[in-house]
Amino acid sequence: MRRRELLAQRLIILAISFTAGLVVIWLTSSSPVQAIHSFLTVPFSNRYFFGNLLTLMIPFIFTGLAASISFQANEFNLGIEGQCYFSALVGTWLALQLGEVNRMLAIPLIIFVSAVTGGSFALISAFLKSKYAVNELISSLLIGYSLIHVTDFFLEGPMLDLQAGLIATKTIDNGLMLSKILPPSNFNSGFFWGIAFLIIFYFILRKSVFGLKMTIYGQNSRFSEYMGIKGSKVVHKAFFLSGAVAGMGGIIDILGVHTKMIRGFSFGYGWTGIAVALIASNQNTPNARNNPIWIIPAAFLFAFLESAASTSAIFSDLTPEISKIIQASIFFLVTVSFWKKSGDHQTT
Amino acid sequence: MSESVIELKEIYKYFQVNHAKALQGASLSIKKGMIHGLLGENAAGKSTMMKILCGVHQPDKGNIFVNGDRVVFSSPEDALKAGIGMVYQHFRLVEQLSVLENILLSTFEKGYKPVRKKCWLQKITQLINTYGFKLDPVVKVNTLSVGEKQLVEILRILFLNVDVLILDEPTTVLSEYEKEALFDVLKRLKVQGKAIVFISHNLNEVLELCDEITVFRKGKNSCYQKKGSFDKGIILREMLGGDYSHFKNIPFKGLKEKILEVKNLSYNLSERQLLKGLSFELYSGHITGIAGFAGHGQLQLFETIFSAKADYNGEVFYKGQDIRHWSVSEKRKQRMAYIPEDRLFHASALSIPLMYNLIANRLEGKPFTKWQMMNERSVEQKAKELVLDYDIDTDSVAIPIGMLSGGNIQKAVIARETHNTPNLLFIHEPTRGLDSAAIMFTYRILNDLKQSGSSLLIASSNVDELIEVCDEIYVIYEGAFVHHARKGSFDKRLINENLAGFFQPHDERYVRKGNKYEA
Repeated sequence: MRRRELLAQRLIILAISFTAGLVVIWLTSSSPVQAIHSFLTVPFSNRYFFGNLLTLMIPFIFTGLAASISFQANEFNLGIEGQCYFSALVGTWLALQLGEVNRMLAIPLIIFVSAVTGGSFALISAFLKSKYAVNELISSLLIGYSLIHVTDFFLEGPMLDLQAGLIATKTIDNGLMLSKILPPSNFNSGFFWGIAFLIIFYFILRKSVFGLKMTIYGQNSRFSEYMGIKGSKVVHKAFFLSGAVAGMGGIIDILGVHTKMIRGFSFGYGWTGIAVALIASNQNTPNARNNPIWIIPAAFLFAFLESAASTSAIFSDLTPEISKIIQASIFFLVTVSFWKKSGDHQTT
Repeated sequence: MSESVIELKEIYKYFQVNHAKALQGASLSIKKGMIHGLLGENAAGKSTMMKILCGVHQPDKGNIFVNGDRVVFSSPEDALKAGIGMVYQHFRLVEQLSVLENILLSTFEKGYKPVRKKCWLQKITQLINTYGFKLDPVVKVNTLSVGEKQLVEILRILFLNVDVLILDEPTTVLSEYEKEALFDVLKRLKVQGKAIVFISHNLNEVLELCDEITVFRKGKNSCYQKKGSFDKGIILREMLGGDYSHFKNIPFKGLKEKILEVKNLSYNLSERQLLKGLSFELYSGHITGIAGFAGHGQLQLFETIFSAKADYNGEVFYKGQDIRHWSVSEKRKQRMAYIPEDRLFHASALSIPLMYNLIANRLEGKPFTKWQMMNERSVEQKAKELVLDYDIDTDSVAIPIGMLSGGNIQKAVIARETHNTPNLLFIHEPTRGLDSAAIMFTYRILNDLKQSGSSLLIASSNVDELIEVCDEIYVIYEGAFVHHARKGSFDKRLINENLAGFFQPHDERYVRKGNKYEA
């Protein structure tokens, strides 16, 4: 019963948001019917566009997963953007140092180092919280923003490739790039890394002892302390895992698509990830356990919006901002509960 | 002969959320100038019936008549217009506002404006005088005692000119003195012609106060009696559907070992001394009671010993070992257990399934976990076992515990804390808010634990209960023990006087903070 309501709720949100988008198209376009048609169909019209749509899903899967890990413990990691961006820089640096080596060993190593980097910076917020009761929401947000500027410093200074013509590092050796699937699009094996981690975290969040501890702590921290679950441990682990997944998302995007660290490549991944996690989570349901598998359709939706807006701009007079309008309405509506739970709630 | 004001006929109500048939053809009539007592176990349907009368819930079937006319209430406002108001068990007051403002709040919707306070002040002062309340309308609500807050709630309803006043378990939060004061108020209201419905599961209270009694059982009115012909035995039988027996205090026959030794335990929170040099010893097969009004340090005592706090003064030894630096999970592994007072928000995680709530204290190792993964099948199996053993009323162990009734949540908490026979068990207010059947059940468990050699420490404000159950009683007042007695020399009057601090100088720095947990 609850599950059906939840699905219906999501569909209503999508319907309202898409309607908002279509209204804007109708008002701004000179040939609205054609514009709407291309908005809805172009991303699926050929291999190239569809491949790029799927490619865009990859970072959203990682950042969405990162956000939903922290949500599970009722903690808010708002530094995903910065963790993702800085870890990509560290991973790129390592990849440039490694040069030509065995890719079967090097790629996992690079991803691992990036993950540890992202996780460590997220961990700072968790420590500040458990030691000095600093609000994790604010500390992760501020640390995340600082990381973006630190990264930009390295990109514009020590690691800048003057020949590149844009603010970026040198190109990573081709042997360290993830394998391409569906050429000529950018779709690459990073997608399977994403799916693999979703499955791993499905088991961690839903089936493991740690997942249960996270849920219990997230639902009632006083109860968890009384049960003998150490709150600080749970928060530390949750933040580390969240940051680590965010970091992996950054470097996998570099190794799969960009071939080098470019300034601003990840702009918005972290925030989109939070929206993805909010759509995929079921915080309003009574048993409050998130199912990370829902991240796949949610990431697909946001990837579709992004790519539909940019591709249809080629074929019609739409601006790419149309996707931002729809995303904004989704963001706005996602925490609304259409079914109020008062009324038939019995208390004796 | 008083006329019938309100009649509810053949009311049916089914709750989809927890598949409960709350009411199955219940009827009730309420008369002017009478106090009507509604008795019944938890989940017997008395609260639901009243919520239907107040328009909070709508009946699936059945009719409501006011002065002979059939009415339909689709919201509490409709009911208020018809002159029916309810005082809820949990207060709905804005703590930072004054009494006057709180009363006026509920009238905004009727078109009044908050201007011209003086005029309102006059009206409300007049109202307070008519009913003889002892209240100052300009003081802030957060400075009032629980009993005074309840008066504000009643006043708020009276201000809306209601004829029928419903009180949902008003006495559970009150002390003995406050209860007497409330009864006086209600009797005065009765004389002025109001109809009063008094919901309770405390039989003696209802017998003392009410003019007529209706007993609810399994969603139906099962018995009706008038003052003068009350028969306690029949009423009890109708409530319980069985026999009622008391706690059997049988002495423990095994070897008495010292389980816990507390030496000169003090705990300060900034300026406030919450615990003042407490010393006591607990033995196996022995029940020790701590008598005291709420907020005199009982919670701090339990929390200091059981939680991982190490910043107390004095010493605590468990089976001879200093436990200052033990973690909660270590204490639990050494078979210490604790049933806190707040079963809803401290002792359970409401949105988590019942089965995980039942084993949440045993998340390490076998049989519920293997290689850091939950073994859901064994969790479910154990949960089903406990549901049967402890008679928890639920269809499934996978539903969130918050969907159960309060009594069943309490049973689940007791099940989790006692099923593996702890060596030491702390219990805070073991029977508060429970109906007689659940009280009997709790006593049986306490007795079983005692007989199997557990050491129990019970804090309660119910002195009768402690005298019945305990082998030894300490009285706590403002964080210090002020009286001590052993079985055989319990003196109820002396305990009660000490409880109220008759022999103590008032300590101004000791601010009672209700039941709030002070971290």
